[in-house]
Amino acid sequence: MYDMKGISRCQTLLGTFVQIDIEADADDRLLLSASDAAFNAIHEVQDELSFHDANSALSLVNSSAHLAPVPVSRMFWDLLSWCLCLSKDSDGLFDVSVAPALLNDGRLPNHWPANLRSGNHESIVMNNGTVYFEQAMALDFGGVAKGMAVDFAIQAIKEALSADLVQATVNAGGDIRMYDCHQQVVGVVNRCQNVEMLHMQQVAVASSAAYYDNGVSAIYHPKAMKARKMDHTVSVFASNCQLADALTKVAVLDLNHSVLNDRGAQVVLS
Amino acid sequence: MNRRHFNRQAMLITAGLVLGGQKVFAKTFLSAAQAKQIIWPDVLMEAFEVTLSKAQMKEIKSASRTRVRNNVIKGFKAESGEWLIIDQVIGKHEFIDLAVGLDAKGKVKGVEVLTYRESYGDEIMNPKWREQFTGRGAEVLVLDQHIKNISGATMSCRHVTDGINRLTHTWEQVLQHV
Repeated sequence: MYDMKGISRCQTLLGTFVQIDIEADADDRLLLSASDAAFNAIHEVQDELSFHDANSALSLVNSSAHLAPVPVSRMFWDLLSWCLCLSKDSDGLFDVSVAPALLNDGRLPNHWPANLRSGNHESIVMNNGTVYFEQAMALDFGGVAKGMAVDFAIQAIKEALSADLVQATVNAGGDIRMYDCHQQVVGVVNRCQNVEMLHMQQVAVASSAAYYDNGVSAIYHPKAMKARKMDHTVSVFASNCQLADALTKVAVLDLNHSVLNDRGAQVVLS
Repeated sequence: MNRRHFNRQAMLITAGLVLGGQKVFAKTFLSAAQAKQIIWPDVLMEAFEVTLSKAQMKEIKSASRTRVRNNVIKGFKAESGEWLIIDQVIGKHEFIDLAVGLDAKGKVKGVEVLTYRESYGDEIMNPKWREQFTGRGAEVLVLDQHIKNISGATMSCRHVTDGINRLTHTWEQVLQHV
């Protein structure tokens, strides 16, 4: 069907366009099933962690974890543990509990009264497969789940094609991970809306830009609870897309924070 | 200098360039026939074309709360009632081509983006220029030869969601009766 030992597909998921490119020494059927597996992996993340879906596992936690401990999946548990660790290492700059500020500004759908939510990441208790909020609050994985989904998709492609895989790229609205990034470039939309070409310095990149909203980003300072003004597009290259996605928030708030270096990230302003 | 070294040098020189002015990023993913193979792999289908009347367009607009720009609906249809509609929506500035599969009950079976286009560049900062440009396409440099992936751009898929909603209502109002 494709005759090029490759497939490129694009679907709408996670509120954005998800683009998958695969080159492999494989037939059409295998290429198709590898791309299906990648999209399915992203679907699973969306179904579990969407803030916008009132029926997602995340919405169940947000609606009732302040009343009693809520059992969560392994995916949820692992991601939340990882996020809390990064919150600690970034001195609270990365914080999945900034959702109430985004709710108040209309950037997230308000399923529940936001003004009743005052807790932060320190109010989260994880115990025996359950999550409990000591104070009413709301989690939002919007700053990390897209990157995680991209990692899962690349993993699904690698598992489907194993040694036959030559090159693969998954791009979810600018959160990009490649299998084999050697000599690859990526176009980054800079502060003037021009496209600037950057080398893929590591396998994953995520960027945060503010040109589209008068310089106001969707990144909130966890202490001030205000959206951050940005002068540049901030791109973070890292060893996986979840990390790149999450660290863009830290880089926007404090470009010199030690966690960026400690986690092996490279930051480029454009 | 061997070829590999030359390529590397060329790449290093190319990377870091800023592409100023207005540019269109366009990437074709699948042909309509390939999308059909993915969404309806074993279903025998024939090409169809339906022209909507003004009254039908008005009904669809009212039901879907989405503007109906084109009065011609095209794609493939199976005798058993499955549809594959080839449609266009306007993204932020440019047209995006879609294939939308609807089953015999009008339920969405699958959606594939066929061609994604978007504009970047200095001129987009100017709202008046942007307004004039919207929906008219662009005769400018196509970038997909050089850049296969873009980061740092807002890429909301709301327009696609609206387009799918419009097509399900088009089935409801018109196609199911054809």
